[in-house]
Amino acid sequence: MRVALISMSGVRVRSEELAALGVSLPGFVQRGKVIASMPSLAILTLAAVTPAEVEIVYLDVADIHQHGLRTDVDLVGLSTFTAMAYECYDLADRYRAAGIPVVIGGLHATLMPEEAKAHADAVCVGEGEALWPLILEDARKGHLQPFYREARPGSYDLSQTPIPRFELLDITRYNRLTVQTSRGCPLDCEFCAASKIYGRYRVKPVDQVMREIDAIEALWQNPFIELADDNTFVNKPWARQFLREMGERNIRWFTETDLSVADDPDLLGLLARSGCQQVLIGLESLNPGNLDGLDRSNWKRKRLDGYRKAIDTIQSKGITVNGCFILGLDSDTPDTFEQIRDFVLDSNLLESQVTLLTPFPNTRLYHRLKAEGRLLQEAYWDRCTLFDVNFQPRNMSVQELEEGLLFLFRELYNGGVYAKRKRHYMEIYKALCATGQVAP
Amino acid sequence: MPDLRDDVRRLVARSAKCDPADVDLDADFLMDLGIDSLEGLKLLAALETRFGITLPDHELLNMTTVNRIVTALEAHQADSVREV
Repeated sequence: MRVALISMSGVRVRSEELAALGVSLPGFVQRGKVIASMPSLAILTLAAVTPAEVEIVYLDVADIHQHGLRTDVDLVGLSTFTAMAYECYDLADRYRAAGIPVVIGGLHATLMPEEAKAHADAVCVGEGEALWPLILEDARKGHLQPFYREARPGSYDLSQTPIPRFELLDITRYNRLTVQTSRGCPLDCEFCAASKIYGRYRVKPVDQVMREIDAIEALWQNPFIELADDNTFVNKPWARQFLREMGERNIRWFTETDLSVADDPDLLGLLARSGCQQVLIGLESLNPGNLDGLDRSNWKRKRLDGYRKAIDTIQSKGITVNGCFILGLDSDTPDTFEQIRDFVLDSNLLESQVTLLTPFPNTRLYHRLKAEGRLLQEAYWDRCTLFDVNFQPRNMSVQELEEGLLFLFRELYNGGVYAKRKRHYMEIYKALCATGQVAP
Repeated sequence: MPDLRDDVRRLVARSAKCDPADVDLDADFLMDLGIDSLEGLKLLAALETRFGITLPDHELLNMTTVNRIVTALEAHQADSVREV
């Protein structure tokens, strides 16, 4: 049996003005290229739990656009996130019309399984490692079931995860590869789809993570690795062990975490010596009203007064902070955009990311906004790009929110600001070299 | 100014983790040599320290090849030596 596993990578911003602006902003273009070039870790993982007698063909949706449908296969597996759901469904419909059965899985199908089923012979709901071998067995017998679900969602033991089949990739097409060390986040913010999908926070054993990283190094001499985590350093003993191991390898890497790394000098020292280039941290908002109740324990609200100090502490070690802000939260007003601009510039954040509040399907945010009658339309999935407005903001108009996003893009990602950030980092790095804290 | 070019090429090769002979003078740091933006900043910081200069901030975004850096360094040196 031959199976095509297709990654629905790439997101197109729907706003024409923003898309046009994006091509001229160095920070936006750079990050956009990085995201667009990442392979699907989910599909590489499914390939690794595929029995040896099944031949796997890894395809990116761009390959289909370029070369047309690959029809010399017996089954197609598609993994998609929300923004690409309609394109995924269109592709699934074309394959089914060609007589090839289709299985859809991934984040969006897990959130909206009934919707996905209208375009697939089977839907994989939840984490695929345990379900995929069953799906293949049923497909081989010609008896695919409509849905495959975990008996206890979020219970998959990450110590059982196989090493993703990175060798299926043409490494030269990518500027970084992903490794997952954990699933979920205990903060469980209202807008977060990952907390909804993954359930309780789980970490992968460190030695297993290292086997994955070694597998990448065997294929790519000087890799750049992005951890596909939502919050990497929740478990501090695990984090210390992981960072010590990373420090013994000569690898550049990046991840997402929270401000608590700044509280722990020992951990921060290990992080600085581990090859970590940048941590992405969800600061979300500067408005206490927005942070109040955003996560289950009000953790982010309690951290607000310490944002600047924490950023300084982390960056002083040579690790850049990518501070992320969400626009359109309920306490935001038209004044919010200038406040964020001023904070980003004054705090010397070396990177920043501004995105729009996005009600992903089936999240707590989605259900609340729907109940309040504030969703602009039903099934707006192709607008779940983080840059297109899908809801009625509470204290401003949709147009004001769109203009505020554009304002911040122009203010934060222009060449002059970018050069100032570069200079700030270079001076930090020179000071670290001069004091022997890093080897020049 | 061959020594300057060789010096820059050697530092670039260290960032790219390759042999200096493999660094084409017009190779783009990111696209051709795999030097990402942060590694590029470390390289520029090392160059400033090595040559005792400060590159103008507005030129930092353009410092993406050996030849561009050498041109900037030469311009800086020319500015520093004024005949009277």
